[in-house]
Amino acid sequence: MKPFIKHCIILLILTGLMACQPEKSSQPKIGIIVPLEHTAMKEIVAGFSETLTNLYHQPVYIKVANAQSDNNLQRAIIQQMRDENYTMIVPIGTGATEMSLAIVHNQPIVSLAAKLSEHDREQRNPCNVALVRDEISSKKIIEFIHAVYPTIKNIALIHSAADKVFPEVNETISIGKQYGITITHIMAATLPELTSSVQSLPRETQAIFILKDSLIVSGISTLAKAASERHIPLITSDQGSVQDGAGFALGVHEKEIGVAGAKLASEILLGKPACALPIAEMKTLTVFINKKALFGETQNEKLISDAAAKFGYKIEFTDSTKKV
Amino acid sequence: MSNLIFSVMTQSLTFLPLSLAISISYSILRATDMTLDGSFVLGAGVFARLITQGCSPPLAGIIALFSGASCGMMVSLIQRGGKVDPLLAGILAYFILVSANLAVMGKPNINLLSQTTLLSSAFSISELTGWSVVACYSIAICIVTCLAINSRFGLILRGLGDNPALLQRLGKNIETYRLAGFAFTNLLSAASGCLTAQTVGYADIGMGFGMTLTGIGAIILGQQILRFFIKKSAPRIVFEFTACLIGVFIYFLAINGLLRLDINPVYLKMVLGMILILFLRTAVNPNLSRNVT
Repeated sequence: MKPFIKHCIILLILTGLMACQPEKSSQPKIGIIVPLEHTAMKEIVAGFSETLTNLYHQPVYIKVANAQSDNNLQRAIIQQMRDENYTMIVPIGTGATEMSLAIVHNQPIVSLAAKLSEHDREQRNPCNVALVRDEISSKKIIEFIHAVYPTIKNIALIHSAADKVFPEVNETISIGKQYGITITHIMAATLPELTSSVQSLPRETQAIFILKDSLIVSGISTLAKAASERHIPLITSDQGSVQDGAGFALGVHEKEIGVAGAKLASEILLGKPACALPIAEMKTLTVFINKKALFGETQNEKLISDAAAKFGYKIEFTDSTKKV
Repeated sequence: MSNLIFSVMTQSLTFLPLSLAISISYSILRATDMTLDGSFVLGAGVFARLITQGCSPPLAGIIALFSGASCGMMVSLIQRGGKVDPLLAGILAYFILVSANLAVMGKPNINLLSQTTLLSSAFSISELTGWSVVACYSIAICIVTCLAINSRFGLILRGLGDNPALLQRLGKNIETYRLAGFAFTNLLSAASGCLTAQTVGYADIGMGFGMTLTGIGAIILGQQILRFFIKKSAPRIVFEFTACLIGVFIYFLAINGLLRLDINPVYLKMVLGMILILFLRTAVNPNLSRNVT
């Protein structure tokens, strides 16, 4: 028999096997959709899985599916979870959440780190989504930077075209003006553009600032090197970038997003409707400090600690060698 | 099984106009047009932006299609006179579109979940009704495309791709037909973007990334498989378009099927590539001559 026909038959048998997959045990099935491979995503998933295991004292099957920034793959994953009657779907990020909302109508959705409003939730019929939002107010960040460095007047804000950060850029710039800070924004849509963006930073730049931006954070070592050469602080908005070389950040533990999501998920598993649960906001801010990076940037760690104490923020020292 | 087939069909329906655009660009115009990624996003973005501004869905759809067509004209003008290589022209146009799309959309992501679109009323009745309407749109686009390519216009486009010098000697203005050809392919890409945005509930600046490469892969896969079954000569357009349909269907069947086999998505593309290589190695007979007219 021709090999090609043989392979067709094998494929048909496989397809039949797919259709005849025995049902997994009756334990609840939860599908977590991770849009791309990133340390922050891993921490969110870890926070969610560990907390849910502790809160919901029964066996739960958790499947983590990585869409690898591929919309077609993401759609296939969501459709599979819907068709296999997953008890709950947990998308991370705005794109994954919106796609889940478009495809899944009957199963509850716990959205993590997405930019969705109460109004969006109320529009749903039936309403089947609970939200965990992780946005940090730009005002708080600029206020903190100003408290640490009251004399700084020029900051370069480097960002990508990600939907998460783009709307915050203008807000950050206008808040900067309130504190007498001129914030120059530089967009790098891809990592190669980041290198040339960093090399063309305005001469009067006194600090480099980045929002919670996965693309830019991927290139943090480039920014850290530039900050070190210019002896200016590199200020970020997430813990991971401080571990990778930024001086300090005001942000939240990524794991806490997962923890908050797990709390909502356990309530839903216990029978509460998703829409009845309030939107969870990340309110506890932490100042992450990398002493080694600050030393390289010739910055004073005490200024940051004093400002953190003034605002009542917890301080956490992270090290380049230690990864969460 | 029915869920698997339904998932494959729904994904294939919105991808179909784009795959036809890639097929025309790659096989007929003989140009790998990278602008299609950008036009895909532009179609989605223009439609989404207009809908959120209160424009009627049919008008928004038409404007989205014309915006795609204008991208095609832009890339054709860049290539004008053969001064810029078609592949390079497509890449340059794509760079322009990256900024243009962001400018048009105003932000990287536009949510369409609570907006009235061309499909929202159908989907509010039932999912089957919604996808039936999508199928109608998709099939209508395919029929129009087939008619266009089977017409005199399509014949001249084929001539443009196969032998532009001869076409010029016959007194045809090749620049005009190139303009029309690329406008048509990018219009199809914008249509696909428009349909996709309505079915996934949003338009995103990154949603077109890698679509052209995926489409080219699916088309070549379909061609290889079809050559195995069709031994005699087949009308070229029938062959190309059927290969397109088969390739797209098999690509999405492979992705959805492997997911249902619980293959870790991290390794899924590697497994998919290996399966397709095995498939093609046994399907392709290098001794068979190219059997198209």
